[in-house]
Amino acid sequence: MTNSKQESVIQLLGAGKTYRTGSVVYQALKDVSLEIYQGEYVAIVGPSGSGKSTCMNIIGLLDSLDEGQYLLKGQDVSTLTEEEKAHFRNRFIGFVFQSFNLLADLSLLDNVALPLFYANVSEAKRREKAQQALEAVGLGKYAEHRPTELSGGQKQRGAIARALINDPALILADEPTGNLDSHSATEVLHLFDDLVGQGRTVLLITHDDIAAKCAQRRLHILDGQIQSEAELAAHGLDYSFTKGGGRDE
Amino acid sequence: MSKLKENLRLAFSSIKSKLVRSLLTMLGIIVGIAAVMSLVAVGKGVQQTILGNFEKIGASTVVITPDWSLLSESNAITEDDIEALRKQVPLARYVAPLSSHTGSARSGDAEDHMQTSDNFLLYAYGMDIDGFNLLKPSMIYGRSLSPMDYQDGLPNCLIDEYSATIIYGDASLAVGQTLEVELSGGISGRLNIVGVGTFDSLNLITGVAEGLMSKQDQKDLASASVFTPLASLGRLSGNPENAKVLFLMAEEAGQAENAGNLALQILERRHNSEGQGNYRLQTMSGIVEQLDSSLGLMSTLISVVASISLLVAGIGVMNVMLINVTERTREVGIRKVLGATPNDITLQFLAESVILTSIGGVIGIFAGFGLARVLAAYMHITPKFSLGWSAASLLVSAAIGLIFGIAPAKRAANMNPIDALRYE
Repeated sequence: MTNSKQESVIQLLGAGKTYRTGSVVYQALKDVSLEIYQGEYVAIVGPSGSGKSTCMNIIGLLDSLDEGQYLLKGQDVSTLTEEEKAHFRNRFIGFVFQSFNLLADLSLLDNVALPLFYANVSEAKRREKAQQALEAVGLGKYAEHRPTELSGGQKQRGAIARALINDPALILADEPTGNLDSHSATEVLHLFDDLVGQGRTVLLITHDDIAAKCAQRRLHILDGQIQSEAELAAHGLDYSFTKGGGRDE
Repeated sequence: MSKLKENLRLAFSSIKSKLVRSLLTMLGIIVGIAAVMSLVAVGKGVQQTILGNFEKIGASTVVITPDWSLLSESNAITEDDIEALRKQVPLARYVAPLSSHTGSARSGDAEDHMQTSDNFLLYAYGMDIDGFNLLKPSMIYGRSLSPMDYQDGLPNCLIDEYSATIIYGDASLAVGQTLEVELSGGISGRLNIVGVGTFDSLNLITGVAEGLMSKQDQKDLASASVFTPLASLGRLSGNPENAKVLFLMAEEAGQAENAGNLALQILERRHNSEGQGNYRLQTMSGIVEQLDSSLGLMSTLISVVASISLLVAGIGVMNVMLINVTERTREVGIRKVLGATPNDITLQFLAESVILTSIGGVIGIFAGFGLARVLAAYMHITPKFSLGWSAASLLVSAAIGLIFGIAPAKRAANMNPIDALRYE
């Protein structure tokens, strides 16, 4: 589904990341290259230890590369300061986490509005936009509830509303269905479908096959590298869903 | 700027959600500030009293005190001495001898009011008409002593208002009462109370002259101070009543020391002890300076101790803020992921520590006021509150929050979001 006329949102070129603890050297990413365009629904799939978390942290500007380049909306991020990275995260990336990561002391509304606070939006405007965002995910009447009063599915939908509040270039979802029952998981995945239908760009990081099946494009990662199909076959792993199970390519 | 306001609001709700912890943390600040504020208020009140009395007595007064270890108490300053000084020291407008005796007393109507023993402690001060003129007490009820009282040594006395209230309940009831007294120096008999007044300056000065700061410490025992002519005390004891200390007030301020030195020489010559240092001359300003500097020293000392307590309190604040930060590691991670810069995080936690200590400072200021009132009432003076010191205390409290909160805040600001999010 790549279209050269579409804007490139995420581009990794020869990305490499190495972790050193004492004398142990561990290469989490080796020469990873990928590109995600606007409006795409992409999944990065792999088992634990494959490097998908590292990939997510790099893309999410929470970690930096040792080799290669990361271009976010065409801009090289390696020269950004800590402050600038924070602004970029705030402005361009909407995070959705496996464990929701809502603040327990704040109401759902204040949680959803939090990115706007760091974007220096006035309080009245924040509350208004947050309320709208909650309505859009069907949680309008839960605005003043504390996260502890909500179900997993409701919390995740709230987190998605938070991720959307700044109109980001990318929704970055890390195992979003990991802590949900199947019903809520389905709800959340349908929500992502809707978002993509509205033109949003979604990057899903997961080891869950069912979740991965919903994406238009699946990138398989193993031992810090993006795998080709032939390599997949050699490892003897069943990745049969690449051959058409799930959404059309 | 609205970010600051929101951070302040966030800080308040954070403090409220951990109320007990916050209060315990504030305790050190409260104690330190309360100590300083009450000390300053009481110190200024005492200074005010001293200066006030000094203005009353003026810069033209000197005090001559015999050295009791070298002289016999009874005749260091005799009536004849006073006569001689009056004649030979024209610079002196008043030559005022003062004597003092302690003992016990009973009073008919007093027994109805007091529930303790029949007897109470009595301090009796003998003075003459010059003394009364020099010291100018404020009379409230009854009359002051008349020339006849002084000349004939009539057994009339004036009572201190505070004493009258303690003994009789209502100060005005003291007028007309009779005291049966047993005092040092063989004085026993009856004294009639003819007037009630305030003798603060006399108390202060006799205290100074006798080398005690004040007998205020014994105010919790029933005790009274009365003032009566020297001659009256002499009649009750059957012996000539001689002074313990001598006040000289010069016609002009500049003449006080000259008058004093002359009087000193005359006394020494009359007692065949020239140049032996048996009598000590002090100027009132010298005495006031002494008191002022020892008060100042005490204030400085206690301020130093209070500062140490504030330092310790600050360390406590830093400790608690570190705990707060650690407990909220996950929260910091989330905020950073969503776009909080290190400065945002620093501001968030600094606001909390500054608000915490500032609230402690405000409570401390009010606690200090309360403590000052209690101490001052016990010392029988009026405390003097200073806006400047209150503002300084608030500033110091806030500064402590800033200084001791910066390390924890920086720790939070520098957290790696990835690790922070993983924190349980």
